[in-house]
Amino acid sequence: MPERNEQQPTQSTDQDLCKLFQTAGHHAPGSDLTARIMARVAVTPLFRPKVIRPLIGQRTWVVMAVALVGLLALTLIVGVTTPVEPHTALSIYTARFRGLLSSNGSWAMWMIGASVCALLLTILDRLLEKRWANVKG
Amino acid sequence: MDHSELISRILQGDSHAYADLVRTYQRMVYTVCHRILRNAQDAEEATQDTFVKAYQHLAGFGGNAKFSTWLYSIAFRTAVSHGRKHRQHTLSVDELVHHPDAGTGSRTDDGTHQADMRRQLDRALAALSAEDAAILSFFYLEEMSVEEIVTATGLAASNVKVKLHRGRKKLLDVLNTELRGEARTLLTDHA
Repeated sequence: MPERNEQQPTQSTDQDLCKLFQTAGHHAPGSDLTARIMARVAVTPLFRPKVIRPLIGQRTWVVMAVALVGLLALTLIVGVTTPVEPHTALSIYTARFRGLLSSNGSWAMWMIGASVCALLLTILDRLLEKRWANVKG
Repeated sequence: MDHSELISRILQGDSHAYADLVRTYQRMVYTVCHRILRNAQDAEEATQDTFVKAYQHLAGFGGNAKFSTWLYSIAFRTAVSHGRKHRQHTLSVDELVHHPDAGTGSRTDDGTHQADMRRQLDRALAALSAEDAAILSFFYLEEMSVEEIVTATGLAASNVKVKLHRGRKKLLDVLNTELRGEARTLLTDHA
């Protein structure tokens, strides 16, 4: 196999052929080829690859993460009416969540939470729609 | 050769800077097209198409490969596709031996030693497939590595090695038998 500088037996043949090709040189195109190419280039537009930005940007992801952590924290902090079973972190969380579900008078909190979620989803939907229209356009 | 500055100038709208790139590479691009199409007129058309395509997609040149390798890959694909479309008349060795000017076009017939050598080589290369002839030109004329040829042709490395091995063997056979070693004699006499 011709692999440059790797196989000794073919090296001299390779050198001979290399010399032959080099001596023969390149084919010569017409003297006006550059001008003809440039004439076509002058009327040819450059294709610029579209930069596709992610639908959800870095800042939005951070905001969403903070909001999620905030919601989780909220469920742990507010509406606890049942005693905590002090075994595992998971049992603490589920106990508080159960407490939140069963507590009387937490409907107002649930309504506020649901409204905020609906509002956030609507805003996100609008943002995604707008961004998608920009990408397609 | 680093063309990044030239390319950024072209991308900023200086299309005249592209003429420098054309002048630098047109001979090799034309040679590759000629070795594939074996016809001066078709080779010029394919060369023009190559440079227009390269200009259009210049912004997509990422700089992962050398500019020349990227350009030769466009030239290779354009010439192969041009050959398929136009069903080019591939000259046989006999035709080339008996009609030395066939296929080379009048421009190369300047009567010099180099033109004689090129004619001999073209005659011998006519015995090979167009693809093999182009691959041998990449390897021996442009001194590209197997990896660069893989990038330029889109073929697998093993395939390129087989084509080089087979092409070289066949080329030597033709040079030694059909052309009775004329090319080699010329080489020895004038080297």
